[in-house]
Amino acid sequence: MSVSRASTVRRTRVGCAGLAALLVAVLPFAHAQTAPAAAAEPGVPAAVSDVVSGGYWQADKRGGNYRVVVTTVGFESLASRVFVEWIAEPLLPDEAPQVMAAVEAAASAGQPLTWRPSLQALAPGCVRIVLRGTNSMLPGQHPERAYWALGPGKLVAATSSNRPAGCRAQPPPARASG
Amino acid sequence: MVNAHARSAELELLHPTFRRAVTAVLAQLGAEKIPFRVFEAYRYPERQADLYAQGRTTPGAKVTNALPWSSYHQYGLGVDFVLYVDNKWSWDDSGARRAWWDRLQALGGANGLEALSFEKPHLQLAGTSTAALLAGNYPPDGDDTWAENLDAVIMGWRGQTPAPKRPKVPQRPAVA
Repeated sequence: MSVSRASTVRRTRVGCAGLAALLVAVLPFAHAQTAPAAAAEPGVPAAVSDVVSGGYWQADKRGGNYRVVVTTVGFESLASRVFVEWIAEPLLPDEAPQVMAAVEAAASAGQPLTWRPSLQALAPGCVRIVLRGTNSMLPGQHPERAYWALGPGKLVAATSSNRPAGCRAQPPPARASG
Repeated sequence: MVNAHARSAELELLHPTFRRAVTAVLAQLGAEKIPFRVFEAYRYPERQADLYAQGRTTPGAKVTNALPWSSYHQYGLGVDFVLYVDNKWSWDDSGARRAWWDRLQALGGANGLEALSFEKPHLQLAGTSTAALLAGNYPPDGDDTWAENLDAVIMGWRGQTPAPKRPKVPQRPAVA
């Protein structure tokens, strides 16, 4: 029973920590579109339409994974915002994961663009994030954006020639012969 | 022959009060050399149903939360403005263009229009509501073209979403 309760408490704390950060991200939408979201706690805010996570980063004796959170709002034409977060793993048993840094990637708020994210872990300290979009007013138009996520808070728009040095995919370990 | 499933940028089916405001906004934008055009004006409920289905019951990503008759476009009271640059529609709001979108919203407000939260291209007539429109409480001073079109669309609507009450249509003398 105590295990179950502890588990519940931990889940709640984890949820609250992540949720608090996410609510900050979603807050700009909240006043007009998602007023009931607060009543829905401890669930994830209803404006969240997509989440992907993966990869691994290390900095300042902390480490964790990357997370991409997409919120989508709107009525006539839907629009998304995309946030990249660096989630720090807990260091102690009673510690919750924390959002170490968050950066808005695709600021399409107000414009009729929705985004679906994908994330590819290339090496420790580097993931490639690809956003595939839909123009809500011209549904045949599908923009695409890509980013390199590096250390906490560092997000770089990806071009064909700016792959960071640490972002080479690591070769598989060599097999021992014989 | 009207294609009720196609996008239209024609202003003639808009409510005259709203049409005047849209025309004024366009004129002021033109005077300031801000290259907005009307991307979509009157939208039939059939097209709204198509848009609503996308990402729900038809392929693609969801593009709207507005059911037929929930959008001001169906009443001739909403339009979408989009930048038209180098012969292409552009939703770009980066750099200096952000100020253009802000100016669009400001001019809309000054001409009796209102924006929806977080939807920069869309402007609609202020001072009414979807509930009022569904109840048949339409803005005053609608002209014959607006009223006859809205009435015909309501009468022809075969979708699942309830249609609004019919507007008052001018009486025509019987043809002798």
